[in-house]
Amino acid sequence: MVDVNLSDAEKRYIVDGVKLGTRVDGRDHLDYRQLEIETGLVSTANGSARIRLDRTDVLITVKMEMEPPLLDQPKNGQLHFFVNCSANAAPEFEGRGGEDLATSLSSMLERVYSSPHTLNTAKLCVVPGKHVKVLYVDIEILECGGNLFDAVSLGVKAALWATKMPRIYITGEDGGELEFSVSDNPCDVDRLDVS
Amino acid sequence: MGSRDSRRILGPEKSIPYSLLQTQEMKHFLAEDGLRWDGRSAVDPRKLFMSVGVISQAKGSSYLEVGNTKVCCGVYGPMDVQRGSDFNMSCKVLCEVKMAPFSCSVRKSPQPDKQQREMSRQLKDALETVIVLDKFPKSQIDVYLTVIEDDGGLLAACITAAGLAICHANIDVYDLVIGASLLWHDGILYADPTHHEEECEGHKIRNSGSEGGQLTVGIMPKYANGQVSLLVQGGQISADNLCEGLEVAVEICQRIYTLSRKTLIDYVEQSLEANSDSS
Repeated sequence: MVDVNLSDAEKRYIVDGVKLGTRVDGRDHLDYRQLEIETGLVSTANGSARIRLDRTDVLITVKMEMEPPLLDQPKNGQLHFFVNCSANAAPEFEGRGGEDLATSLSSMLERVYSSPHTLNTAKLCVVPGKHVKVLYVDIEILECGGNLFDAVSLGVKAALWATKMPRIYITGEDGGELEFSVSDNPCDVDRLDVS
Repeated sequence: MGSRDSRRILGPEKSIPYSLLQTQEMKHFLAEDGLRWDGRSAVDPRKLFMSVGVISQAKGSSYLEVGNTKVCCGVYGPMDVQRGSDFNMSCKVLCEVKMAPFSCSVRKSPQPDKQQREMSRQLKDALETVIVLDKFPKSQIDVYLTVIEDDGGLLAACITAAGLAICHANIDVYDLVIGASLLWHDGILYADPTHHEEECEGHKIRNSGSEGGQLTVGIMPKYANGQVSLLVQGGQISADNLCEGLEVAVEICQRIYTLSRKTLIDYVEQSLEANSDSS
């Protein structure tokens, strides 16, 4: 998204090409660029994905924490999205420049994932009313080459699919407070259903 | 509840609104006679009141009441941009939506929260398409909205109020932009939902995941031939329902448009009379 000063002739070339049905890089108007998705990159996170759509590069990580639930939704877990446009992606993102784009991306994702059809947060409940799993999804925009919304939403879905959350067992009760044991076995994990 | 505001004296940290402890009774959307609980049919919009010229200090201002939703808008500009680094050959639009703490049943913090920031950004997107930006290089237009009471259809009311105020400020626009909001519940389309209906729908989507959703559109009805300047949709709506909803929205916007035009023309006639009386 570097601001390239196009001459009038170049603008005419692009517009006339689109009218004839061809874009500057030879694609048809409904064609996608080459897409690559990798998961399981970051070992410190419960789930991670990297998505590359030609020049657009986005890294998404998912971390799980346990917290008390929201008062009006005691049986549902939560999802929080944080988008960070790093200054590497485009010079205008330096400092607080990327904040507008970041808030619009994160509010779009929150709207999409608010429905139980996208992700059923009732499955993230551990003890209703007391403890639920909260998933913090951190999105890092490494390079901005256009079509960020598509890339970010695909990447979030991939990262959530790849998320491995250790299973939590309730071992006992000690004076009203529950005790938990978290499984150390890397294969004893819960997965998320993102279909 | 977020970062504490150190400049104001706030309530205790662990306070929760008592309404969360009350059992919420869900009123039925449509009674047996096909009318909603306030006597409207499913596609009737609420009563509207608009006036312009309410803020004397502002270049343009408007006040809008849609049912119980009350919004006041002030427009300042076009003014010079302060910093030379922000010089741009097209105008900069700064939009701020502020909800008064008493506007909702649960008290809102005086600091703008995520919903207000998102509304400000969406409104800015809508207004940037409506104003002829190339006519005001190196300038900025400030649009400030204050929500006095929120009873549903808030973003739509903000769009209409901002459109009116910008016209009142004599800023060049492509057309008057009007907002409309719609809701789908149990497969039925409701026009101009109230806050209670929006909450019930949101609650239902979160819990049962059935099809339903909300739509807010900003439309330029006349001179731009019904072009859409803003479309915000939440929930799950099929594409056919969305198209049907858009047609209903365009119809509602046409009706509101005639009222907006009349308000602006009446204001001009009144100020001409006042000028001729005084001279």
